[in-house]
Amino acid sequence: MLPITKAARLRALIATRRGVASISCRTARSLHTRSSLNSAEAAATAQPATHEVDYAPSLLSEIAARRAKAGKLVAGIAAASDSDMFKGPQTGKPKAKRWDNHLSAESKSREPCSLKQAAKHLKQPGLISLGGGLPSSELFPLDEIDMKVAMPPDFSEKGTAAHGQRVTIGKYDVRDRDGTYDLSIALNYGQSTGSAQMIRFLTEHTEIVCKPPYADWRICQTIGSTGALEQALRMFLDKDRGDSVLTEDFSFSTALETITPLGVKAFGIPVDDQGLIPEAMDELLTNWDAKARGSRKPHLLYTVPSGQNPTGATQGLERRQAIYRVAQKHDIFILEDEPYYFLQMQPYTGRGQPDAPAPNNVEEFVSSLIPTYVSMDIDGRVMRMDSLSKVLVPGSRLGWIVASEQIVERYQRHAEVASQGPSGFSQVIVHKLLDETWGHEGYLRWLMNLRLEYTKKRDALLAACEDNLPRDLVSWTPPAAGMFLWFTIDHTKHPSAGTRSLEEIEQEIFDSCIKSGVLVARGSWFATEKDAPLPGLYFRATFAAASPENMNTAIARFGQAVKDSFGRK
Amino acid sequence: MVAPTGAYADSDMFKLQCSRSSDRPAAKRWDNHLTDECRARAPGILKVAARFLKRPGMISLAGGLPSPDYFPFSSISATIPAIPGAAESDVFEAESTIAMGLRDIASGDAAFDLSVALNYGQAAGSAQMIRWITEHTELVHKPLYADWDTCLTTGNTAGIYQALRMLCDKNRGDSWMTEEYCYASALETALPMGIKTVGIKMDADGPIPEVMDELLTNWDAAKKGARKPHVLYTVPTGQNPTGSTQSAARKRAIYKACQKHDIYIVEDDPYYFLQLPSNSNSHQNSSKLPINTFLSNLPPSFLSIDTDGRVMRIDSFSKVIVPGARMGWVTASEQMIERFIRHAETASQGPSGFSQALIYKLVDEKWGHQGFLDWLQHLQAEYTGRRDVMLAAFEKFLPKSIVSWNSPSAGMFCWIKIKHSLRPNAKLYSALDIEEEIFAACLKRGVLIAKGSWFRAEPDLPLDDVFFRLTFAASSAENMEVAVRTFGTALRSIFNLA
Repeated sequence: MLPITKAARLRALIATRRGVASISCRTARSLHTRSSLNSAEAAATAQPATHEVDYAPSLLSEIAARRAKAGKLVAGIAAASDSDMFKGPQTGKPKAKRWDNHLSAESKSREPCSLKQAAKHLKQPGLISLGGGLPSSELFPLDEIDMKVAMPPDFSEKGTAAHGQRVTIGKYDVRDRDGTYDLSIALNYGQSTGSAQMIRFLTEHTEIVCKPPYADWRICQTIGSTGALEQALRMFLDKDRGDSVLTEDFSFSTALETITPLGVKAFGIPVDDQGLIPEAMDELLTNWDAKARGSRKPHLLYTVPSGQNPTGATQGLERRQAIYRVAQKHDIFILEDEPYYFLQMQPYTGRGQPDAPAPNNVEEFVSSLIPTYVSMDIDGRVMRMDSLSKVLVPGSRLGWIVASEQIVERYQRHAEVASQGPSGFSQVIVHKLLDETWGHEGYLRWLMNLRLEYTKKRDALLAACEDNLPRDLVSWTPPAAGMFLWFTIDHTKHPSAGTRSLEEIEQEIFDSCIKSGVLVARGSWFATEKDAPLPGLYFRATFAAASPENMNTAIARFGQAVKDSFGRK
Repeated sequence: MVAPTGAYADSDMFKLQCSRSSDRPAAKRWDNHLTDECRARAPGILKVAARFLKRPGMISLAGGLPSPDYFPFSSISATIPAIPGAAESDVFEAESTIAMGLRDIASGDAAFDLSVALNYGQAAGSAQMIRWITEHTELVHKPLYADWDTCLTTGNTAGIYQALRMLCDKNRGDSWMTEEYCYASALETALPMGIKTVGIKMDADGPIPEVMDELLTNWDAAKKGARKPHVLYTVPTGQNPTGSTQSAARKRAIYKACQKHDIYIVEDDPYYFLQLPSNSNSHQNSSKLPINTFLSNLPPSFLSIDTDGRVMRIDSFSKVIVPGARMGWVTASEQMIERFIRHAETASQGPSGFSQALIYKLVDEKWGHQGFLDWLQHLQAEYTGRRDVMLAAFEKFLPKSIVSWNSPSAGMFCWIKIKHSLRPNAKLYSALDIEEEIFAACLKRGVLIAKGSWFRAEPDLPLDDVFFRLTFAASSAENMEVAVRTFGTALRSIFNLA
C-alpha cells in the first residue's frame, strides 16, 4: 500500500493529467450505506478519514446522487429506454458527425418496426392493449431465481462456495418487493436495446470508464461482440459499392471469417509491439489504388486496441491518438473491439523482481487504464464493442456498444430483426449481480482483482518461456493486456530458409507440437490477407486457462518442436 | 453423457430410430438454393483446431477461453410453481426447485454445470440441449429422412434472419413467398436485404396451394422484377396475424406444390403447441389426455411430412416457456444445419448459457419429455380459456352486420374482418382511411389493436379489405371485455349503427 498522502497526490495528479474525475473514498463509502453491499465489503474498503482532500465530487457519488434525484426507475415489460435517460449533463459538448455516406444501402433502408412503433401508444394512461403478441408472464413456469455469488474482498471460487452472497430474483419483485427489475419483466419480450435497467448501469459504467467527449452518445446491448461485429460490418460494408475494411495484418480469425462471406476485402496494416502502425496506415490510405486493390478506398477500421488477438499488442495512449488522427484525415470510421480492455495487467517487472504496486482502490485502477478510443472521440466516429465474456462469463452472451445516436439507432433497427437483444435470463442475473449486489464500485473491484489474477498467469507463462525457449530463435514481448503471447521465430536461422516456404516450416513445427502434446495456434491462421506471402513465422499461446505446471510442460514441448525443426538439440 | 466445455454435438449422437445408417433416404441437396454468402462460409479455423484436443495428454495453449476459476457464480437455482391437478405426471403437484452448481460435473455425476454452461460453447448449442431437442423431435415429428439434424438458435427472429441470409440473394434477383398477411418482423427482415416478398392469397386454412401453383406456373420474371421464388415462408399454426391453422390436407397440398416448383420451405411454428380445442368446455378434459393421445392429436408439421429434406422447421421456447430465454431451435437436413451453424458462429455463437442451463434443468432433468408435454397441455387449457373469453366478448359486443371472425384453433390471435363498404359515404374513403379511422377511434377510447395493413406482404398493392388483429394472450378477462366493448362502440359510432 502506498502511504495515504502519496496515494492522494497520485490521484490528484492523475485526475488533472487525464481529466479523470477522482473517486474519493469518503463518498465511495457513503455510497455503501445506500447500497446492498454487506458489512464485510464496507469494512474492507473503509479508509482513514485523512483521505478527505478537497476534490471535485466523485463520479461514483455523482451517479448515486443522480439516481436518488431521479427516483425509482420504473420500467415494465418491453419498456423503451436510451442512455439519455441516465446520463449526466453533456453541456458544452458537440454533437457527433453524421455518417450517412459510410452506411451500407442495407442499413439505410431499415424501417422502424410497425408493431414497436405502435408501442408508443402504450404510454397513454389506462390503455388496454390487444395489439401486441406478448405471452402473459403469469404463465411463466419460474417463480424465483436464487444464486450464490462472489463478494469482495474474497472473490475466489473457494471463498464464494464457502461464504458467497445469496441473492434472489422474484417473479414480481417490482410489484411486491419495491424492486426495479424482476422475472415477469426480464423473461418476457423486451426491446432489442436490452432492458432499461441494464442500459442505466452500462450508461453509468461508460461515464466512469470512457467519458465520451461528444453529447449524443448512446448504449445498446448486444448478444456479445461476435453478433455486434457482424451487425457493425453489415452496417458499414456494401459489396456492391466495392467496400473493404482495414485491420491489423494479423487479426482475430473469427472477425476475418465474418468479413469474407460478405463479399468485401480486408486489408492488413503492419503492426509492431504496440499494434497498428499509424504511419503505415496513413501511407496505405494516401496511396490507395482502387484498381490495383480491387476495392475502393477503405472507410472502416476494425481494431482490437488492448491485448490484440492474436499478437497480444496493446496500443498506448499516444498510439491511439495518432491512429485517431489518421482516421480523421481519411474519414475512417473506427470499430473498437475491446473484450480485453479490463485485462490490462500490472507492468511486467521481470523475473525475481518485486511486483509493481497494485492499485490501492478503484479510482487508481480506473486511472491506470489506457484511455479508450471513445474517450478521445470528438467526432463520434467510433463504435466501441464491449463484452462481459472475458471479465464475467462468456455464457452470458451479453455485451454492449457505445456510439453516436445515429449509429446506435441503425444498430438497433438491425438488432430488432437479427436477435431481439440479449437473453432475459442473462440480463436479470447480470443486473442482480452488477447493479444490485456489487454496484459500480464492487464491479470495479472485481475487475481489479481479475487484473491481478491475469498478471499472475501471464508471469507464469513468461517464466515458462524464459526457462524453456531458445532465446536466439524465439522472441516475444510481455503482453500488457489480454490473454495472448505472440512468439516471433527467427526463420532466417532455419536450415531450410530460402528453400522451404514459411508455411511449410510453420506446418512442420505445428505438427511436431501436436505429436508431442501441445496445441498452439499458428500465425498464418490469423493472417488478414491470406493470399499475400507470410511476413514471418509466428505462433500464439494463451495463458488464460492452463495451470502454471501445464504451461511449463506445454512450453517445453513447444520449445523442443522449434529446436527440432531448426536442427538444434 | 460426458460433454465438457465447448463439446461438439449433433443429433446423430442421440437419435434412436432414424439415424443416418437407417434405411431411410437421405435429404436432397440444396446447393442451388443457397446464397453466395452462405456458400462462402468456411469453418472457423480455431474450431477446426479444437479437434486436436481429443488426443490424450494434449495441453492447449490455443483457445482463448477464460477459466471458470474466475466465474463469480457458485450456484444458480430456480423455483418452479406448483400447478395442482395440471397434468397426469406429478411434477407439478408441489413447488419444487432446480439447481446448478459451478462444478457439478467434477463433484458428482451431473451432465451439465455452470463451468460448462457459462463458458464459450458451440454455436449449435450445448450437447445437453441438443440431446433433449433431438429426442423431442423424434417424439413429436418423426422425420421421414435419415440425415436430419438440429441446432439451437437465439430465438425465431434469428432463425428467420439466418434462413433468409442462407437462401435469398438480391444480386440474384431473389424473392420469397409468404402468406398475404405475414408476421411483420419477417417482412422487415427481408426488405433491407433487397428481397422481394410475394404474398399468397389465404383462406381460413391459410395460404391457398392452387393460387401458389398458378402464381409459380405463370411467373414472369421481367414483369415481377424478381426471379421465380424458390422459398416459401409460412407460419402453419395460429398464423400471425390471421390466426389461421393449416389442416393436414392443406399442408400436403402446399408441400406437393413446393415439390413441383422446387421450393424450399421455411416452417416457422412458434404457436404449434398452443393448440386450442374448439369446444369451450373441452379444455377441462384435454388437460388430462394421456401423452400418446395428446401427441397423436397434434396436427402433422411440415417437417413430419418432409420426404425430401426441403423443410427448415423453426421452433421456439418463447411462447411455451419464456420469451426472455431468447432460445429456440431449427431442424433440417444435415447440409442446411451445417450451413446454419457456420453462420451462427459469426452471428451469435449460440444462445445464452444462463438460458441453456436453466431451460435444460427444467425441461430435461426436472420435467423430462413427459412433464414438458404435460406443461403444454396446461398452457393450452389456459390459452383456450382466454380465447373463449375473447370470443364471448365478440358475440356480446361487436355489431355482426359489419364484423366477422373465425374462431382460432391455435395461437394467440383473433382476426377480425370489417365490411368497410357499409360505412356511410364509404365511396369517399379508401380502405386504408377507414382502417385508420377505426384504429384512431379505438385509441382515443383507450384500446390498442393492430391494423391488418401492418402485416401486408405486398403493401404497394391496393388494399381491398379491412382487418384488425386482436390478441387474447396477455390481458385479463375483465380488460378483454372492456376493450372489445370499446372496439364495438367505436365501430357503431363510425358506421352509424344503433
